[in-house]
Amino acid sequence: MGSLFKTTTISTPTITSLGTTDFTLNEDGSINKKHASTTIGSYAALFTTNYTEEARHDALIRKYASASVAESYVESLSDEELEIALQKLGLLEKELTTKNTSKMV
Amino acid sequence: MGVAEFLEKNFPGPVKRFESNHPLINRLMKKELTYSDKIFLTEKLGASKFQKAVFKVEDIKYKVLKTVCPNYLKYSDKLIDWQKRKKLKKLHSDIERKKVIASANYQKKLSHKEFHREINRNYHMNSNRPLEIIRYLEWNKNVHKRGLKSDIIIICCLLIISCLGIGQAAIIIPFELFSAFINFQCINIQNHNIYRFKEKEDKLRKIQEAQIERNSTKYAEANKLIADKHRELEDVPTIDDIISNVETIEQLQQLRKLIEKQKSTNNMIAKQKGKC
Repeated sequence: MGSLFKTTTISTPTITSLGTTDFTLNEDGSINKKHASTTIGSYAALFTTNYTEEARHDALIRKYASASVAESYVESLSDEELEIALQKLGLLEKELTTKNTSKMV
Repeated sequence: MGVAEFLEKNFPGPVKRFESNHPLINRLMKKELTYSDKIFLTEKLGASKFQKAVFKVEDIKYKVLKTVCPNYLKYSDKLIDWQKRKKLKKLHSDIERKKVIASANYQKKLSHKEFHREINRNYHMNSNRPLEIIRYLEWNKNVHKRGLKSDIIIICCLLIISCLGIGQAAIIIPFELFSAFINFQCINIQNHNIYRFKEKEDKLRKIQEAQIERNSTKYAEANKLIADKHRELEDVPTIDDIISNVETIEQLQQLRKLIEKQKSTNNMIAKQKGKC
């Protein structure tokens, strides 16, 4: 599914760029500067949108993968390890809150 | 080809054929059994009763293992590391290497979980990933299928040998018959559980997706902390490795909630095992 998403996003800017090349050239072949700047802007916007979508998709996959790793890790801990972890987290919380309080002061 | 179709083809005309008024038998003849029918049949073959025996054997197995080999996890981790190194020698691509390392870490964590909770991955569903068990049930079923095939071959060979005059071979036959019976019942239990989960697969899939979405959002910071440590070490980190990298209150609070949630799940598992 990831590869399908990637191929779709690559083909979309390619097709768009071929269409806009036509639009930016005058009849004699010279560059129409007004149209060129508009198309560059729209191309950049399209590219940013596609890149953002892809980045969002990758971030989602990473989020789910991290959740799976963390879940299996916590499930593998013994009762003693869980208790020790809770005690250490309790001490660390006191340290962090003291640090934050002293920063505020 | 079903029985009814065979009769239709080979004995046409006014021959009295077997027809049943029982809907289950009709569906069986036409090979149109539903999951409920299959579950019913596996129950009739003794799945529920044998399942209780399997759970009792599981309890005894882990108690004996913890008594005889309390350092079992150390040896299990060493074996997994050795298998990992063997696979990594053949691989050069970065992605393949990461897959092998992730798989090895997951196997280590699974065997730790099985040892601490005294639950076999083949017999107990994970409430966070309910569909995962179907894969393990299929794997377990194939193991017992291979066992049953070899038992049948050995019994046939022993019968032939004992017919040829070597009477001592007949002494082994009852043991092989018992082994074949156990393998058959294990296949029956796996089928029973596979049908039970497949019957509710859509519902379980929705539950699994909802769990994944909820857990990945609710504990996002803690998950990232643990996953980053795994990536950094390329091995399963200790709890001290994780806690020493906690930097914000949010990470700490999420990590604590995750651990407390696991504690209550563990208590529930222990109570359920007590009931069994």
